[in-house]
Amino acid sequence: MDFSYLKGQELFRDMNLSLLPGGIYGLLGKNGAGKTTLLKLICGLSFPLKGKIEVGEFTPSNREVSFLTDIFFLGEEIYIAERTPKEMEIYLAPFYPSFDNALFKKLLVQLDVEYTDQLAQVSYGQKKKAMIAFGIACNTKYLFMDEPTNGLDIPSKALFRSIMASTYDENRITVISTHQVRDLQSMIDSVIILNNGQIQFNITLDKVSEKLTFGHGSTVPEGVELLYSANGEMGKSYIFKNDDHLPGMVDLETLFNGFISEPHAFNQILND
Amino acid sequence: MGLFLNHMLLIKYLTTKYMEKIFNFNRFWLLVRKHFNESRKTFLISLIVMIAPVILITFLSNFNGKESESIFLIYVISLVIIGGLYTNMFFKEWTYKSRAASILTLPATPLEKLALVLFFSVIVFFPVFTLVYHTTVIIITEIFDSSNQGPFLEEYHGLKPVPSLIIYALVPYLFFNSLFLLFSVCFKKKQVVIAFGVIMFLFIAISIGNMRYIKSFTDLIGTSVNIIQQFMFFPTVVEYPNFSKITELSHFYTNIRISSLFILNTSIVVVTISTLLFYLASYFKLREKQV
Repeated sequence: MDFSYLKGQELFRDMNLSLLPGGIYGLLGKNGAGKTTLLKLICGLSFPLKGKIEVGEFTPSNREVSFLTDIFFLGEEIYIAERTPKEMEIYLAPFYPSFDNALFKKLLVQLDVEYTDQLAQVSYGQKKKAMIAFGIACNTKYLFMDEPTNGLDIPSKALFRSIMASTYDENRITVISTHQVRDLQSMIDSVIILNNGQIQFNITLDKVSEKLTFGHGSTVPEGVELLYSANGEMGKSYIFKNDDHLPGMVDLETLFNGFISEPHAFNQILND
Repeated sequence: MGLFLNHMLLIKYLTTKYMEKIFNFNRFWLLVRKHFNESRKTFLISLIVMIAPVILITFLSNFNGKESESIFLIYVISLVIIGGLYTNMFFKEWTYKSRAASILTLPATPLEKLALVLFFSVIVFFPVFTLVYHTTVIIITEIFDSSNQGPFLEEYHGLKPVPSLIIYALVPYLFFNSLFLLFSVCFKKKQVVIAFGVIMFLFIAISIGNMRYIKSFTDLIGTSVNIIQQFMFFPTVVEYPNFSKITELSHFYTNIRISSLFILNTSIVVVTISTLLFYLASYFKLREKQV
């Protein structure tokens, strides 16, 4: 698939991406890499210039009602026309046949948003939480979230992670785009890195952990060839090739930073 | 017979299935309900804010209510302008990326979304505006000039007969509404400015077009008409006899009666076809709308 906003300035060229049900994908990329655009293309808000996008049996650009009832897109800039979460349930929810009213109310309680809160008078974070609760309660087959943790406080970010884990559905495809890589830690099971108009890799974290070892501390183990290392406030973060193929923890932030600084080396190992 | 019935049922099923993809009344009703809930206060306030100056202008220029044709003229012009702004309010939301995304991904077809705009800007707005405007005009006329109330209602043909209201108010309103709708869907910014620009261009072009034609008659009689009257000239002369009072030229009205009838009919056909084409273009543009 090819896409560009301006003629001659292609944002994506020959892009290929397949997503499988049951996956919670973290879409990572630098600012301007095209994360939001990619989500818009999948949701049918923008159309590819060349190539094809298929979401299940649908072509998103047709924006058929059956397709739209299957997706929920939570944009970075949120807009809620309804005045309260209660109104969202009354006026917006009927468009989504699988909407779960009980789950919506439960999530609102968990996220500390009142059912009758006047959304015009609450903070951006509260609005976002109301929208996250609504999006999850829609029970759509495809859930796309663009920077969902922007504007959330630290406890809410942790809550968001636990909610995403507790509402996991093996039939749903969830894609969460963010540049705050840490927010996705322990939430996603696959990572997609978008760079230079291409999907550099789309890989499960299990596979990443089989191929790479992540470390953190003041010293680096001897006898290993580091693929990436960086000094941080809390010590050194590093990555080296996992020759034993024993699974370990994946540090998403270090992986992303490593990839950005040494894309070729990481590509070779991860796409091998 | 059974086979025929089976075929008929199959055709009905396929038609229903196909129609479901284009327009569904339940979904449309959900849209109406949703939109009414989120915009009722805004629309009510804006209607009052927009209609108040129009009524004020009407009474500053026609305080005693004698110039009923001018009241109708102000009504038509304000209907078009306010209706245009009103239509644009629906699509103003579409220009904001976040808002447009939420509307475009809302599970409803483009036809249902377009019908929603038409429902509020035509089916609701037109009668409400007509009713509010005329009720207010009549009430105020009665308060300030009760002696003229009888003649005013007798002379005023804005609401009677109904065909004149449709031809001189609804048809032009739909034409401009379709134009506003098209510009609102097509352009991301300054839709109102562009739409008004085009309307002004049409206005001036028609006025200039009429000017030579009118001049050929007025030169003979030694009087003149203003630019608004020039714009309204053709449609008003034939079917709307009282409008001849605007020019106070009964002679002049008689002279052009036949040719203006032809022009009137042609204009209605052209305007109606253009309106349908503009609505159709809005529908296709809406289907292709991206953010």
